[in-house]
Amino acid sequence: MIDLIFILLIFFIISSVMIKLTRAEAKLYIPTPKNEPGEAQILIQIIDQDRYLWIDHSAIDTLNQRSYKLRRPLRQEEKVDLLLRRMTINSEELKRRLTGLREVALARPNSGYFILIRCPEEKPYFYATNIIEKLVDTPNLEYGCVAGSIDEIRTNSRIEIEGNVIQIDFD
Amino acid sequence: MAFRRSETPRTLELTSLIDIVFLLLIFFLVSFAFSLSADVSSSRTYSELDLPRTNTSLPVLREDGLENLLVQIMPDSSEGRTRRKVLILWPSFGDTAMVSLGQAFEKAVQDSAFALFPADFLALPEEEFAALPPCTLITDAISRYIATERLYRRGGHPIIEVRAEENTEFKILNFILEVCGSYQDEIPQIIIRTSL
Repeated sequence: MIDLIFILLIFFIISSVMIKLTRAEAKLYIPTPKNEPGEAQILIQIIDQDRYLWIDHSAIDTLNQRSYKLRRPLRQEEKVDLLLRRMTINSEELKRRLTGLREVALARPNSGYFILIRCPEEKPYFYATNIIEKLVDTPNLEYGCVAGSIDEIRTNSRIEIEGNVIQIDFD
Repeated sequence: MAFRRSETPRTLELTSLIDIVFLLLIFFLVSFAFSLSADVSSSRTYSELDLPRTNTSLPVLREDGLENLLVQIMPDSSEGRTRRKVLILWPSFGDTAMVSLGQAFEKAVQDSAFALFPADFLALPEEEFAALPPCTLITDAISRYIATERLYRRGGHPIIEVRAEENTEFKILNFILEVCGSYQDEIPQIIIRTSL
């Protein structure tokens, strides 16, 4: 009886210690930034853990349609407000779009895509790595990660449409 | 008729006793072995970090061997409040045997290759932040590492690894990225360690 108790005791002790052992670690590559202007197909601004601003080519249509309805060019604050209202998504939608993006990229191996991820400095870095890890194993999907907040887009950015490109300049 | 009960002398059951002794011996051996990996500082061990979890099939790191310069960022509660501590873990070079994470961690502590961020580092402007001791430690370490890599010409690009609690502020990681990016194409990417 005592034997059995001790055997069970040692089993549970060793099991609990084993669980606490270091788990295997994997490596996630993040490119270092280049100090030069560039173009991205998609901009993902992390707002918080469940809100993201996703700006892609459809933003041009959104802005143009609004401008057409108002029959005048949009002011900067109207552009920003419209993008924030229409293009903010939650984490489920983000996951779905990233999956769709991977499928599109894999289906078009000759096309290249660049995704820029902006993460607020005060937020945990795993917000950014959670996005990056969904993009890593697609050869023609490149990504970059920089610091930046939604307030910078709200207050200090200039948004212009030039042809087929939406240009966002941060002061 | 009353029968006298025969009293058999009680003997010690040696078999059970030996079983228990061995079990206790195994228990203490195992406990002692794990307690040896305790940290030399007051904070947690090098291995006990809540790294970001991943479900995807990322490349797996060689277990416990340090091949590149590692910047470890961990919480430190030694002064009554939790702050971020940066340690620089150096790999071996040349023909010397590969060091383990634990060995590199102990060496970093012995050589004082660590520094603490102040509690208010998030509020600091860029220039002041870059002048903080942990940031200058990171900058100097990366500079020395690149110079050493050039000397030993190990082939390929020098790789910087970062190992940090998942809730570490992005500002610190961004600083490391920017420092590495300042070397242009010499450090095209860094490795973030995640746990499977």
